[in-house]
Amino acid sequence: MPTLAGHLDLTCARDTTGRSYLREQSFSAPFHISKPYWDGDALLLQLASPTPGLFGGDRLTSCVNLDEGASLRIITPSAGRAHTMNGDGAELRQRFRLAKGARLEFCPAPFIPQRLSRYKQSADISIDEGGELLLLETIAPGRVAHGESFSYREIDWECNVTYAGRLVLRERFLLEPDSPAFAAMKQPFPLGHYASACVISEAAWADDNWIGEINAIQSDTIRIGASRLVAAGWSIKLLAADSLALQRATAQLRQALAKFFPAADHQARIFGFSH
Amino acid sequence: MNTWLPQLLQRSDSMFPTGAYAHSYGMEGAVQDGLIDSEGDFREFLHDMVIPGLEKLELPTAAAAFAAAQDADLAKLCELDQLYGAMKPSRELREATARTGRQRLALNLELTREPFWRDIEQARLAKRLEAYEPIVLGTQGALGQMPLDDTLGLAFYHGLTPFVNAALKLVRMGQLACQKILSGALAQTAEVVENAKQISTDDMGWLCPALDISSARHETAFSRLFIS
Repeated sequence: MPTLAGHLDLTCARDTTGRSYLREQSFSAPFHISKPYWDGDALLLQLASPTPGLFGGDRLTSCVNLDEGASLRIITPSAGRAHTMNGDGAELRQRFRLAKGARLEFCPAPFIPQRLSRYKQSADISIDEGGELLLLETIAPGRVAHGESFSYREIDWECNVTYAGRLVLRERFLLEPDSPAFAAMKQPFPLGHYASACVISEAAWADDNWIGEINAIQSDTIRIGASRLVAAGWSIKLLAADSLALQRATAQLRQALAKFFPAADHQARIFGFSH
Repeated sequence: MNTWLPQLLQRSDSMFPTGAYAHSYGMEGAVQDGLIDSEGDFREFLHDMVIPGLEKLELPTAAAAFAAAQDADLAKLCELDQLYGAMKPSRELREATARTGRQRLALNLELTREPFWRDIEQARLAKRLEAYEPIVLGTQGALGQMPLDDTLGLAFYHGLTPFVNAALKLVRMGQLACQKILSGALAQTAEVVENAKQISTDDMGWLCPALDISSARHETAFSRLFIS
């Protein structure tokens, strides 16, 4: 089967009126972006891939730069997938650069690793002092409705976030459902959906009054907790018993963060529809 | 008789005042969250959530610190320390290991007068490192002429015992039951140490969201016995 080597290169800048715009853009299949529009707080951009899904051997790179003061919100219209594959896995390499005062929100729809898939994702995020990041990523156990849960072969994950030259967060893990070490991922929900948010914001760092709202999201089907990073931001982790609980909880989470990352219609922004 | 065994006995004894007894390293939060309610739950907790974390993060960090200390490479040690801190997303878990590490550093400095300990303390005062526990344990092994395997075995033991101590207070189980569970875990020492040695600094890391969440919620818990 032919494989793809797609790329996405974007540079977002701020014009003299304070609005953000795409100063440079370049992409190739399977990446595709919508026409962006200014929603009053940020430039909203719909990223239509890797929505169609990744196959073995696919290699994607994305590079997003935000100039000083630029504000960009990237959404995806539906879940990302790694399809069933033999042999080589798929790989996505991401690099984000945020200049002083820039703000990036990237909350892609859940990632669904299908049976026998193998997926590697890396993110290298560098933020200058005063820059702000909201990154929310979700990993589903698989196509649960098709009876596939934790049937993928491997997810190899790496994310490094540097703020003002200092490494403030590094996530590095290998998920192998066949490994005995995987048991922790099934606690407390056997079909748990996992979400992780990285919130980099000096304002959020200095103010912990919103943590009560985060803790209040916890329920019989949700476990959630927020904790300060070594500097400049917070890590928020969430486990949901199923996809509906996940959807509700991430919407509530996004609402709780609206104080620092304004968003008028959070559910539409995250999932592409309101309900 | 080897020269490092007396040091090992002293530094791994519960009377060696690192303050680890005051921490549950997220376990109290896990009990409050309903993840642990019985002896069986505690055994599973150690097996599923604690031991893999020790194998994939704490021990590889200690092994890398051991190598850096053997080379007297303070810059590398500081880099490792920052890397480890960034890999602990829960503030309580991070600060718990920083507190016991700092205390162990201070004790080693007082007891040995080894110049490299002084260098590390000066780097800590200059905020170049926090002196997290695995960093200090690895350094302690190298400077004490202890073999790497035994240093990692000690790090494994130190990674387990705070949970066993906490279990006595948090779970309905007695001393003997705790010692049996600890014995079962320690029986895996050789395998865990061997696996940990194969993990490079680039690949070390572990995901246990349930424990991170419990620990994060413990930060704001209304009542608690332990600092972490």
